Amino acid sequence: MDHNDTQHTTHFGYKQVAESEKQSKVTAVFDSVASQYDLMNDLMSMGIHRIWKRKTIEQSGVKSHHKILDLAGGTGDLAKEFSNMTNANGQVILADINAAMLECGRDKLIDQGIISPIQYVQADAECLPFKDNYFDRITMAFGLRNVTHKEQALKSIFRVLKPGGKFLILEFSHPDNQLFKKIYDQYSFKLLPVLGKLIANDSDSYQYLAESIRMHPNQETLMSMMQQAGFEKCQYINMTSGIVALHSGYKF
Amino acid sequence: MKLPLPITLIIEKAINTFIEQSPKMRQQFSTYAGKLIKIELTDFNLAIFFYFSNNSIKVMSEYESEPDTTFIGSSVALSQLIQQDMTDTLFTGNVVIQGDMHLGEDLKNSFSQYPIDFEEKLSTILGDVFTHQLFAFFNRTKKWTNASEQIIQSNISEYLVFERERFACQHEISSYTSSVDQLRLQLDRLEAKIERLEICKK
Repeated sequence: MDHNDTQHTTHFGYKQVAESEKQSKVTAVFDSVASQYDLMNDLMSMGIHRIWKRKTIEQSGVKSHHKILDLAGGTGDLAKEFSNMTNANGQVILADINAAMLECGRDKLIDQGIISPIQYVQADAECLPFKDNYFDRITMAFGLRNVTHKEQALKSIFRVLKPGGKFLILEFSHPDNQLFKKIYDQYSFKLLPVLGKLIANDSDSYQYLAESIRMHPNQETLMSMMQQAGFEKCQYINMTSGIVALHSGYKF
Repeated sequence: MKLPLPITLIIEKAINTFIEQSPKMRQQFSTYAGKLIKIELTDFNLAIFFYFSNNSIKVMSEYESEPDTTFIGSSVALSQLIQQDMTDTLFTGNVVIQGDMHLGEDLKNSFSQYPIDFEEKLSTILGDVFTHQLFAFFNRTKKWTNASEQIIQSNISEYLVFERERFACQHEISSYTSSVDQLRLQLDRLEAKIERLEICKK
């Protein structure tokens, strides 16, 4: 039997690829967009991503002594806010699997004079290199849809979260209004790749972004995945008509 | 009711701009880092959260955490809290403080020490004309509220005293209490005289 026939496949956007290939393909996407990531975020969302992140902070209920893990933290928007909200007893770890994104985030924060209490860790969400029951809060903004084995990542996150701790996922989701969905589809598949081409000289990565959002589990499915991983009191809040959803759950 | 995000951001920007311009105030507020204050405006059914971070204050319409101190009262009563002695305001019952009372008093003193000219600060963000109109509207509303409160109080009092005749009017009560006082004094004097006579008799 051919070796490839036995390999498990997964989606990379609308394409089916071998599971072992997905990570390298995702890495290539983020390597390509890292330097223009913030600018593209502002352009693509028309600045609304700041409101989504703000809502995440409001829902996080972070206290000054908390140990916080910002997973898939990218250019550090959330980690920056958390670093300002914690004191010497607290800790903020900005983790990302992609070295280019992590470097961009670290350089950006250092340029803004933010040094402590942020620590930078290149880590895979599927096997987090932290001890059990360590973090009070874990956030993952716009990262879960790029993870190959989401269930494994959720279990890994559950493991490192303290009992009583809260996990928040901010992620693109599925609009609840059909008319709005049609407009959003047109925007994602027609305008987004053009913007990507113009700004980051990379339309493929933004084509992948639009496709990966469609392949990401919807609000209810993601919530049940969280419950299966062990999270309790799970809920979600739709933002901008469901373009983005903020899921949260506790470990007890 | 929740404040829309753009409004909380404007308030936050105004407060932080003001704090940045005053190093003393910045230093003082940095001592509250990590504290969460909730203000509940009963007249608008509105809650605002203030999270004191290391070098700024975050203003939020909701926050998923237990506040250290909560101030509950009408907007007028809470504004009076800053201007007046805290004990006076608390004893009138117009403002309720829950949680860390010491922090509440500390904050109140800090705000009293550095009165904030919100109009001037907001004008740098919103522009002079709009800010002036906004504050003129607030001031008119405040005056109207105060005047209405006085009129309603006076009307209710008049209705209960003169129309329903349920209560005596102010001068009748004064005259009655003064008569009672005089009677008590006369009794005291009479008692003293009787005691004196009894001593003489013995």
